[in-house]
Amino acid sequence: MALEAYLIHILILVGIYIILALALQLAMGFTGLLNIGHVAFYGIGAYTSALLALNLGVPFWFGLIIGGLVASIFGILLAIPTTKLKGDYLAIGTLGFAIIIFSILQNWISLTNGPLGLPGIPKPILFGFKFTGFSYLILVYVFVLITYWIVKKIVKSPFGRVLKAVKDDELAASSLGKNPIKYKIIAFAVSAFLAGIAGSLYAHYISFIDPSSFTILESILIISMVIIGGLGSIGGAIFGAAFLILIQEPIRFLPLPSSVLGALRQMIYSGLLIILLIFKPKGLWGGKNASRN
Amino acid sequence: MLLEIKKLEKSFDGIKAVTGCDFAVKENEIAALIGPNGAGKTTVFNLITGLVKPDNGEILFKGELLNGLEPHEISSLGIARTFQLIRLFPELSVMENLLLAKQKQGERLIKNFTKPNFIKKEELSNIDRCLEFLKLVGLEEKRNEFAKNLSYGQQKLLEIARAMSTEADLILLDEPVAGVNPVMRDKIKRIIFDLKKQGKTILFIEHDMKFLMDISDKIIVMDHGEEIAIGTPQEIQNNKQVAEAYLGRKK
Ligand SMILES: Nc1ncnc2c1ncn2[C@@H]1O[C@H](COP(=O)(O)OP(=O)(O)OP(=O)(O)O)[C@@H](O)[C@H]1O
Ligand SMILES: [Mg+2]
Repeated sequence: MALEAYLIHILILVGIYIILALALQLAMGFTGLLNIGHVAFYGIGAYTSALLALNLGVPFWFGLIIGGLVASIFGILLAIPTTKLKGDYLAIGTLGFAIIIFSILQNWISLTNGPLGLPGIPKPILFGFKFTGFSYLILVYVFVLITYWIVKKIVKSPFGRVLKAVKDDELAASSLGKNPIKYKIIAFAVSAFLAGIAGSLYAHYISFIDPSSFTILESILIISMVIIGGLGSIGGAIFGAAFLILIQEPIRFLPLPSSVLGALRQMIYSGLLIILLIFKPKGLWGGKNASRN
Repeated sequence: MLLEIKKLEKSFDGIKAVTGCDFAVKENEIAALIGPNGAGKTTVFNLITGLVKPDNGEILFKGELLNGLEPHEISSLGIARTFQLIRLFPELSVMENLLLAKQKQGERLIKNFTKPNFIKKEELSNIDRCLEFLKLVGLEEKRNEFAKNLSYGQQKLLEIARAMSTEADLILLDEPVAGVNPVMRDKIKRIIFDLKKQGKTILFIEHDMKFLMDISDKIIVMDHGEEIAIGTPQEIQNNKQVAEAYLGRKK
């Protein structure tokens, strides 16, 4: 019984991270936007949905959508000034954004309850049926499928082709009549929306959130998933998310104090990342052939 | 006049690249822009296409002022170009490179979800159209290859095909036959003639004298950022000032 609950828990986390990684893949892998602040959209979705449920009794289903929308509005506000920047500056801009959001969660106590967090976030209910345990797992994977479908559809579409072109050579794309800034902002907004959805799914699953779940380390974890899986690969994002969540589980059972375990986990991530970038720079899943038309 | 350049000026950190350049290109003309290295030819192309902004002067296309417009806006008015240093989308296939030249409904995110069937049809007809351009440059068998895997000459052809696929009225080619073998050069010559037959206007930069004398209706010679002579190939061949610009002035 305990084992079953444990497995369900792990698989739910895998599902939530798959959504986060797919969302980041769209912005980073396909559009070339190095977004270090991805976690902020995850946090915004989680807090929006949780606060709506706790303070106003808004049902999960609406909270989830509103969480996604609020995240994507922040995404657009962040994208407008930063997508004009190139490479490193974009990375620094998004990093700054994540730090600002984190400190708002930490310090705007009257709204977010600060470091004490928000307890008692209700489970989703549909026609009297309450989603917990296994049914929550199903719910999460329904959203994983929807996210997969959306991202796949975008990437395969003529719109997605422009995203890839902007990534490859922004100047050439603009000489062909594409407005690179517009495309980057839309990609950013969709990516933020999906991350917001993931945040809401997390908040209503775990029922207690605090700012510590939304630190930069979390962003680094998601970026690692995308890179290890393979930049610009949908399968890669899924694989990377599952791989990095599942690999930390055996570590948990090592007979070591938790302070050491945390550090060990980070070491394993960075070690893996370095080894991979040396031996398989396109990721474990990347490096496909050109698409056929 | 399709394109009018008036008193155009541009400096980069004090270096005067273009200094009061004046010329015009008529509809359906093949015009060559020539001049020694560093004369400012590519900069004129960059000014026309909005990649760099002019300090002074005017650029008119179909009578409309282009000054201050963004590159994508200028492109949408019907100006396409190639680059002196080839700029393809290396990680995309040959066909995808061409499809990007098309302005279409499918490039709007929402339409892909609300009108998937229409977008599919639009895409298929675009593929057909682009295939014609690929055949024209003889790259139809490479359609699914990454652009980066093509040879230099093939990449040049692909870039020209991409500019053609925009169906723009004015096509700017920056050294289309530089580093290209004689067979390829003849092919490009034929393509340029074809474009003229279709009613397009071509302005190209080139150092290959035989090539440009053969195909140009008009030649604009630039030196030190300004035009020093404009005329038919014959007039330019007999122009003393032009010979001096190329061979150095006799003291
Ligand atoms: N973006 C830029 N920044 C600084 N200087 C530039 C820039 N673009 C061009 N220049 C300078 O402007 C001058 C004209 O350059 P341009 O590329 O227009 O010459 P060109 O006529 O095309 O020469 P070539 O035949 O060698 O291609 C050169 O001195 C060049 O160094
Ligand atoms: Mg040049």
